[in-house]
Amino acid sequence: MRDFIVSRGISGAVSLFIVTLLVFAGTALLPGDAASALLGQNATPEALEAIRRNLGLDQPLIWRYLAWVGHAAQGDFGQSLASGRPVAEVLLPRLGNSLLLASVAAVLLLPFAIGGGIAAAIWQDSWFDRVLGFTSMLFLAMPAFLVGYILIYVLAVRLGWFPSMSVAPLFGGASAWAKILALPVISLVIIGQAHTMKLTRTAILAVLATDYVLMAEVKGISRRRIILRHALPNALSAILSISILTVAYLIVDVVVIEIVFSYPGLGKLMVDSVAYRDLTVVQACGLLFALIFIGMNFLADLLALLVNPRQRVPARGA
Amino acid sequence: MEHRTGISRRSFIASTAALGLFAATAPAFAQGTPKRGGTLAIGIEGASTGDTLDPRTFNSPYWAVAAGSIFNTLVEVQGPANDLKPGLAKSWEGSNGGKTWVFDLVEGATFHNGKPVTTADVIYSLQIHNAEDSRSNSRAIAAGIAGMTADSATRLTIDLAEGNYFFPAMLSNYPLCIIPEGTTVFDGVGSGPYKISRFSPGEVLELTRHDGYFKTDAAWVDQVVILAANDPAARASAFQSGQVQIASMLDTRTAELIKAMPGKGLVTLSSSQFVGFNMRADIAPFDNADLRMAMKLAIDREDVLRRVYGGMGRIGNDTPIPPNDPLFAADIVQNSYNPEKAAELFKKSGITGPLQLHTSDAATVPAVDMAALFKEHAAKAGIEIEIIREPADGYWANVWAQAPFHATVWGARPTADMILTTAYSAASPGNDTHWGNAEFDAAIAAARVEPDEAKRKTIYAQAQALLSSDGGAIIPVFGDVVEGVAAEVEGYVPGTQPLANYRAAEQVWFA
Repeated sequence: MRDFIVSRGISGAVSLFIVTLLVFAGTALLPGDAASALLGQNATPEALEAIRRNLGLDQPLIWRYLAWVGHAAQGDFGQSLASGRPVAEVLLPRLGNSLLLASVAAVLLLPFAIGGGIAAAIWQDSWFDRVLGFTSMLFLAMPAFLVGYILIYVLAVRLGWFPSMSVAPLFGGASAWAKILALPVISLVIIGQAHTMKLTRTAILAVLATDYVLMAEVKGISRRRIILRHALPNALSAILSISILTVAYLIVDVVVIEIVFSYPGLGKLMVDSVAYRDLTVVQACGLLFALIFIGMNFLADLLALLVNPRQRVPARGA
Repeated sequence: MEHRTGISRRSFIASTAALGLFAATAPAFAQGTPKRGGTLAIGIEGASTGDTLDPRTFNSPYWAVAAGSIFNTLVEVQGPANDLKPGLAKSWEGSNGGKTWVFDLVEGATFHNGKPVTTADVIYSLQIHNAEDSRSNSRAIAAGIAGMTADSATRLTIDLAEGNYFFPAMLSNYPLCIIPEGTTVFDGVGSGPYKISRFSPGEVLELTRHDGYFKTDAAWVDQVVILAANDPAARASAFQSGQVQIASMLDTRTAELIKAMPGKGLVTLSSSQFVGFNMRADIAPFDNADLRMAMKLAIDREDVLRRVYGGMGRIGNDTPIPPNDPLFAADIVQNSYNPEKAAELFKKSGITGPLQLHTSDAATVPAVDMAALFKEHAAKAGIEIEIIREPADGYWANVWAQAPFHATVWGARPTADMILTTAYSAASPGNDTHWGNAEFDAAIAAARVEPDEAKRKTIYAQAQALLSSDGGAIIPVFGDVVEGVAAEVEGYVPGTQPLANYRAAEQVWFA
């Protein structure tokens, strides 16, 4: 157990280091810089020079990377190049908004998708299984933004139930938040449910194909009881991993959905900042997304381990 | 996303001042008696998380509208005829060949913090635009001021380095708004109709009524919410769903669909913003005047208007002055599609081989569509155009004004003088065609100090003739700006610029 945590901790740190390189190199490779993005058509060589000097863009790349990593390790992400405000101050409210959106979506999505997957496995090859399989594949194949636009058209423009732009409300408290979260959350649930449902179904069916289930069937135990008493506990570690990865995917989908609904989250912040070459913000966002993803993966493995004692042994040898 | 828009913020940066000569087709809005109350929501593009409340950074439609709600300029422009109206200055007078201007401020104007507005505030507000670290789009205007003297708390004399009869109009440019003297922490305190209750950069600006507003027949609604709607699809759906009552810069191609919905009105502004192609007149191959004219005759302007702008626009004559402008030279030769003549001139120029045309979303979507059409049109004249699609990122820094043949976009300016000077005079840093014509430069310099309007018009006609027949810009069409105004909104006076010259918030009331 301890070995596992240590080894996963090290590999996580290595991943994070590679991510810092990629994020930094990626932002450095973008054509144009904050100075030219700020000035646009108004740029004169003197003005560009002055802004670059102010922002420290005239320093060598390696030096900028080391300074950035050094400060980031201490939790200091520097200042926004566009507004001069501390990056953390820009980032934190947006991170909170994104986490709120992703967690509300996860709370609704997971029971629905896992339940659907189990039901589909119980009634394998029935019309229910087929319809569910078809619709979830349909939504899986549909780009996230398309789902968002369809929902806007139907629920906002035609029916007028929800606002089409999810701007954080000043007044109104929880009910106002519920209103603005509605469309992005529904989109995320629709997009995210498909693979969770499919994977759950597959995991249960895989267990159902094992010998002890066959034995139970031969003994005449009902299929429902086999699934709930025998298959489900054994498939639990797989389902837990799937759930955690679903949440990780949700955080990725959040980027697209936030753009569609103009929701003030981390994803929209990152995309907007790319457009304006606010690289310190982009780097911090990139790092944060990577951290969340790596953390979720770690958590998925750890939980799988806790739920299924058998996995602890091979993990040592591997 | 942003690149799908007709006018992105970046291209709007291109358009800097974005004030200007539009003519509006006024819709028939029912005009009841003004009444107080309600919350007005506006959806407009050009907001970013990096935004600040420093007027020197205002450089997008969003900030133009925000400035028009929070602040006042000395002079305002209103209505389709671009009439000058008093802002914080109730009157003004030019003398000494347009070099000396005296402004009298309105009495009783106060800032949101209760302080009265004085000439010292005005001097400070104009000066900061020319400070060393200023990236204001109005820097050139401030730089043209040779000296300012406060004759009293309400009387100000401004001396210009060179005479300019358009100076008062230029002061209506939205970043030149008046803030309290000595402001160094820009917190959005102004003298305008609404004060800030919440500012969330790149998201929303929530404003409440400034009860001490000096205009007593304005600011009817209690609250104003300005939503950052950079995505044109988001803007359109927010308007359709009623989340916002006014949305600007809607996609012309979907305008008809919106109009068909109940309770939704559309306003069309004849903007003088334009998208064009620049041929660098200083280097080969476009230093050849025959080639430049061949290209101008090789584009089918009617086809561009129909297919790129859905018929919503006006034909251009390769000058930045649109036909609806009072200064438009109607008597000069109109360049129009003539493949035979173009082929003849192309042959005469002795240039062969494909001409590389650099285009990009940075210069708005129409620039990309227009390039594709141009290629087809020119092929019929035997001229081969090779389109090079540049990434939007870095376009203004690396391609614009540098490649021999490239797309450009210019926003409307408050005066014909400004666009002609900024974009086409030989010495201007914004001379993106690198065309240098002494006769043209002399003409616009003479017009600037010509007090007689008729004579000024004649001089501008000469300047347009030179530009149209010899200049390096191809300006086939001026596209319209379409905005949505909900039926329950009254009092909206369409101006020459979006959102009732950016001051819609103080004009309108709910029926």
